[in-house]
Amino acid sequence: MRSRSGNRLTACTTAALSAFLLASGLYSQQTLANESVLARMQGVWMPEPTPDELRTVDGKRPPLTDEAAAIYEERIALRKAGDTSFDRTTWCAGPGMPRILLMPYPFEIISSQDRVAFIHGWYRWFRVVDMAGDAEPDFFYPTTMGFSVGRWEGDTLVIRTVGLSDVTTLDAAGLPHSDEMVLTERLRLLPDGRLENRLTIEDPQFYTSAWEARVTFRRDPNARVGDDVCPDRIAMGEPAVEEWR
Amino acid sequence: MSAYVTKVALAAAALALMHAASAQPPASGDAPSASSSRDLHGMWEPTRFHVLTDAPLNAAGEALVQRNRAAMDSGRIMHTAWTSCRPGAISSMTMPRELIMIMQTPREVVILYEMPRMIRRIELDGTHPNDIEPSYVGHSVGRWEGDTLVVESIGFNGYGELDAHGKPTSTRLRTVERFTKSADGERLDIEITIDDPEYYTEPFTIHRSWRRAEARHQHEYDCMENPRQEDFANAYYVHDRYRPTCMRVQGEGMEPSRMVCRREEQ
Repeated sequence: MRSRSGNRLTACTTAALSAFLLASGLYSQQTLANESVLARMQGVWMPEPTPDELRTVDGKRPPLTDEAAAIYEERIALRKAGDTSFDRTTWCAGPGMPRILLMPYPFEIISSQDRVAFIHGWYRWFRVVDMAGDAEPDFFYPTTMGFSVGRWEGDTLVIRTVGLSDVTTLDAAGLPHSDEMVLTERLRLLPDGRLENRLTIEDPQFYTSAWEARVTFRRDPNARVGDDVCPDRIAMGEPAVEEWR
Repeated sequence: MSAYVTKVALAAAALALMHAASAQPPASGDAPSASSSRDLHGMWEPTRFHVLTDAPLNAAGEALVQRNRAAMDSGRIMHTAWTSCRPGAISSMTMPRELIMIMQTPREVVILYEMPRMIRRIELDGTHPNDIEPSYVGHSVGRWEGDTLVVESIGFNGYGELDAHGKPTSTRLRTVERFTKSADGERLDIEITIDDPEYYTEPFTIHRSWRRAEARHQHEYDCMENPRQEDFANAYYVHDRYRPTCMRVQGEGMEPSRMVCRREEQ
């Protein structure tokens, strides 16, 4: 009786131990996998050319509401006529998200404990993603880069950003958004070594449905993220933002 | 479940947690552990603001400060690198503002400043290259002396002021910052030695402190957001370079205001 009870206890102990070790083993394997993916995401990336008018993954114009479409059309016409007064990057103000990812400037990904940072090569902009949990970010008022919280879904780094000020445009052509926009990025390494970011934009004020765009980045051994000071470049006769070549 | 089985399960859980903890990826190089006093990672805020810095000006430095003072006394508004959206690292050493985020990897310490917006990268155990292109942030290398991070910076471009009097710097500026975290990890003290024989009679040392901040996110400072013509109506520029490149010009009559950018060839 004692012996059978002992066996039962041993079996129970073994089962409990195995269950916990398995669970923890799975957890730590996932953590290790994420650390490994993150290690490979670190370093300098150069965006691959994107058209001035950001398209959905299906190559279509985003599902603008009628009002938003009118704003966009007007800006496209202004830009064609050489008037970029709707585009704050013209005078070195912040491009915001996701516009800064679509400009021909490198950025560097670095990580440190519970933070992943994007350091951009255009006028000292940066963004720090809080990986410490899913809680809503705290902010007083919206900003151009917004407030980002990240998590892993398998090998994909998922970043949710809110608090994005409506003073920015989503693309060079002037795609508008409200400050209620929610931007979700899904970053993953492609088999060919490039980095992919699938952007989901939810903004019912300006778009009739959520839509997705895709931007890719490649390693550029010559690219450096230096201390870029936009007003000095303008003063030297250079454009505030380079064109895609 | 008997108390004994519960204890066994708890022991297993504890074992599992220990296992999980030990299964964390091994730190590469000599990366500090989270509890280490060599770990400066985190969000920090200044313990207080500093507007002025005592410094042993030489005759040339004194002349520039007097020129600045005369301009301000005549009612003009002084524009420095800070106010013209071209801040240098020196101003953030002497005048800490808002939140900073310190990121730390085995290779470098990166300081991300909210206001003025700036990024400083400190290469650990690195050396200054021979061909540094002078910049606002300079070139910084760091090393650990015990639990103090010693950061040496050179390669500044001479466009950076120490304080609200516009105390100048030159390309001869060299700084040494000694970062030490308090035992409880809540405070970061920085001893800064500033050496610029162009404008100061001798190297001098100041102290600044940051404390750990609760905030999860920094805010942002978009300095070039909307420079308006009237902001520069009565301006005095410490350097010509600080003249605004872009400003919003008032329209006449019904004409709306517009942003105008100055370019050198114009």
